[in-house]
Amino acid sequence: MKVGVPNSFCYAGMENFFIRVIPEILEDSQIIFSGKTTKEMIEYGLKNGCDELCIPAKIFIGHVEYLIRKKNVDVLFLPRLVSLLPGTYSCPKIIGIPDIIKTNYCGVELIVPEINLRKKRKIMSEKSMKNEHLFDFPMSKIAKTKNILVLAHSYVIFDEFLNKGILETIKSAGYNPIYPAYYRFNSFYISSDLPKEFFWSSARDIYNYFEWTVNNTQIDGIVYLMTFGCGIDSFLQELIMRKCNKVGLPYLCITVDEHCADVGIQTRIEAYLDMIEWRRKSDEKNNISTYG
Amino acid sequence: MREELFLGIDIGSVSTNVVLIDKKGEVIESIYLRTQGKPIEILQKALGTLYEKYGDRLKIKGVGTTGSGRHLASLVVGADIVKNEITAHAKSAIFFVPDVRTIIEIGGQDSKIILIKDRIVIDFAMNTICAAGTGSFLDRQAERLNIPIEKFGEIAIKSQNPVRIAGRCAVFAESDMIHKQQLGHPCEDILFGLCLALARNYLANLAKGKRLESPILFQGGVAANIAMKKAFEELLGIQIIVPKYYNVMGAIGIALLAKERTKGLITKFRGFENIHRCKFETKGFECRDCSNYCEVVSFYNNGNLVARWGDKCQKYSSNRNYHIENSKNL
Repeated sequence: MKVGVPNSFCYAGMENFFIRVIPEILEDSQIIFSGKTTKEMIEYGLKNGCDELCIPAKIFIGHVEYLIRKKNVDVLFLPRLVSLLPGTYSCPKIIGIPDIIKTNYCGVELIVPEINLRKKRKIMSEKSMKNEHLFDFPMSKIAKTKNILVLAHSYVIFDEFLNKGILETIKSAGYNPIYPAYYRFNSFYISSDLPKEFFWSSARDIYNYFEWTVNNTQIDGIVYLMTFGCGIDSFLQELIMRKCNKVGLPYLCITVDEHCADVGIQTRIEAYLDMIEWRRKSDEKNNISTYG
Repeated sequence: MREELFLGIDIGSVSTNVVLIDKKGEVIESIYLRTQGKPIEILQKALGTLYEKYGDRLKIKGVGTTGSGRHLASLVVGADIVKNEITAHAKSAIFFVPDVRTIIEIGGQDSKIILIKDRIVIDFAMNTICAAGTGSFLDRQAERLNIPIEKFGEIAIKSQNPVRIAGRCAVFAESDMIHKQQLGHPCEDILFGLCLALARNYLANLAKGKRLESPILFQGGVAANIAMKKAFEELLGIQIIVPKYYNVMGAIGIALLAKERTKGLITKFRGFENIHRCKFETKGFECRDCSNYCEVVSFYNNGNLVARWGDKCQKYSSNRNYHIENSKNL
């Protein structure tokens, strides 16, 4: 049986988890991943996604359509990610994405197990459910100096189509991009700034990592990659911006959407890196911070 | 005039600006032309005008390009430095007004705010997806009301009772304007109402959460509109300075940066005659080799392929001969 797994949106970075778990549930299964986002998938997604959805969810629909049309999968494996950290919930679009697919593609069979870390009794086997086993994103290396913190949901950071190669741009300007550690970090860190921890899994993850890096490492600036139409981002971005203004860190927010050309993003990021370089030079000359 | 000169080129969506500065930063010549969607031709024309005027007396020591067409322009002229327009605008503003704190820059397609402290950019923002409140929108509305864009400010400033227009979105603003027009409001009130709406939109979108300290510089093509200046002053309650070379500030900035960059180096500038003589061409096609469907652009100089870009896998941009015979799309 061909089991299709779209590895974008909330399922990005979960490949090893799927490889481990799917044979436990389905015998004789052949797993087919949709792979990297291509323009073809984006075209499918934009055609079939309703306008309410954020762009990563639209791209996800593109991945699903690609699996159905081009890979002829028998069944789609779409776990319902209700909660990825104890005490939190995922974004409603992530929780509802199996239903969106179900109504869009009536003929396809779906397997929708539940992953819910709020519950004591878990639906899937105990071993595969520990949250450090869910995601396999590479951890970013933190350099001594010239670090730029790039904050975004994992599916934006690791999708070159969405972020237009921003990590590469930062690297080629001589800076080291660092990004959140995706649910590996939160078991031991509790935010001290916020009166109350975030309600959403991804927001808690991103904010806590941000707070930790600002307090414990040398970073030169923060870039927030916001997806158009994301409710979590609109909250989180504002909180992070306020904190950056308070501590005097250069902050840049870039909104990614359906744009094809990357010129707009490149211009902003280039100007931002110029600004940081300018500051660094003047700091070296004066030995006194001119902005803080 | 055989002294050392520097050339700054700013290719924007609406205008193409070329300036010549000397080594003290004094502006010798400035040219402002409409891009009209043909950046290469207009750039060649602008450089041709300079060459006709000065001939061989021009001794160019450095060239810089900026604006959204900066990469294309750098291939045409052989630029020493290619920089984004934010840095270029900040550079020239600091050069003319050293204690500047805020720059309001409104161009054809995008608007920017740049905050400066102690001659260093500390923060900036650019409009996101919407182009409401930029030059091209004002252009369109002036055209619709049959008013030459140069007269826009003059007429609008006469207004006594500006009407309220929603400036959030260009489409809504237009329908709001038509409504007010049909109700019989005089033209100047509608025009100044529009200016106020656009200034309000700018402040709400770009200056959100930022403190605008004076001195404030207003530059870019829209700064020619005295009513826009007045609208900003009314909303902010502070005097706003429009610098002398407001419409070519980006080009001056990049010329200054080129001057810094070429210190002790030989320029890559191709020479006016070369640029004039060459025939530059671009061709685009959609590559269908994989499902990425990249839009590849090929750049030709006198029929010879010089550069290619736009492909994700870089098989075209790294190897110029790739697929040249095979591809039917070319």
